[in-house]
Amino acid sequence: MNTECEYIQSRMHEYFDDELDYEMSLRIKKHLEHCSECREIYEKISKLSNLIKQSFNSSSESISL
Amino acid sequence: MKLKNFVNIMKNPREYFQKNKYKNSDTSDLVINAQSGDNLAMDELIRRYESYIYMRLYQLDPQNENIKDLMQDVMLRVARSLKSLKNPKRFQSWLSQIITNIFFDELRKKRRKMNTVSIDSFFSEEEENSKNEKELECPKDSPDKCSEASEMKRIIRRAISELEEPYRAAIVLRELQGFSYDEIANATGASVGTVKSRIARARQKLQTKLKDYLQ
Ligand SMILES: [Zn+2]
Repeated sequence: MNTECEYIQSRMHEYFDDELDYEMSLRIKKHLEHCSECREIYEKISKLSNLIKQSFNSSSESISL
Repeated sequence: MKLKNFVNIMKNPREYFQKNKYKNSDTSDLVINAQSGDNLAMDELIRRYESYIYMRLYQLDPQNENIKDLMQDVMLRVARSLKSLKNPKRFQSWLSQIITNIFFDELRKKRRKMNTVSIDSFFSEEEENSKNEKELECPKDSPDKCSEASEMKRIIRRAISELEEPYRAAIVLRELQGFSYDEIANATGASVGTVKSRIARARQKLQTKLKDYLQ
């Protein structure tokens, strides 16, 4: 893993959560276009996020008051 | 008009029309009317958001035995301070902020009361295995309801509820309530840097626990 990847990965959560300024987001976005290793990490975060949202979003399985 | 409604109207027309006065109003109208002192509008507003309030509190801590008390506190604060809400369109995010504040105030009180005991003990395994566990279990009498999807949801919710409180709070506020790092820092009394690392850590923990579902 090169230093750029290391740096990108250290900011990945902030990137995913839209907490970075425009310039920094763009840098990560560009990096993800060509680096499969970092992209995999990003996709894992995204997948987890979807699972969490789905797990609480149910009409069939309502939680009783 | 359905007969039943008609009978209700004839029984007590005044009460019927009053009760239904705001049934079809949108939230902004309810807020505006409640702000000007209309109790019917306030009732309808609170009735409409009751399950939302419950859901938010449940997400923050499924094991909390005081959810109903906290709900009362939230409703009381809404009633008391609704006048301070400037933009009625922002009611839901204003409410969300109140729910979070009340939840963390309560948590801080608990911490002070038991300041010698670690916060993790509030979510001890003993509690974990008690009543709330049952709530998430599939009903035995109707196994067909328990599809693979709801089984997965159950496992994910449990994984979240098993996180230590600071991690759970950070990830729930972020993923389920859409708070920014700044807002989470305010709500939980931590620095933005701490919030950042808690979110990353919470995700790492969940990724480990849920690795079978993340292939
Ligand atoms: Zn990379």
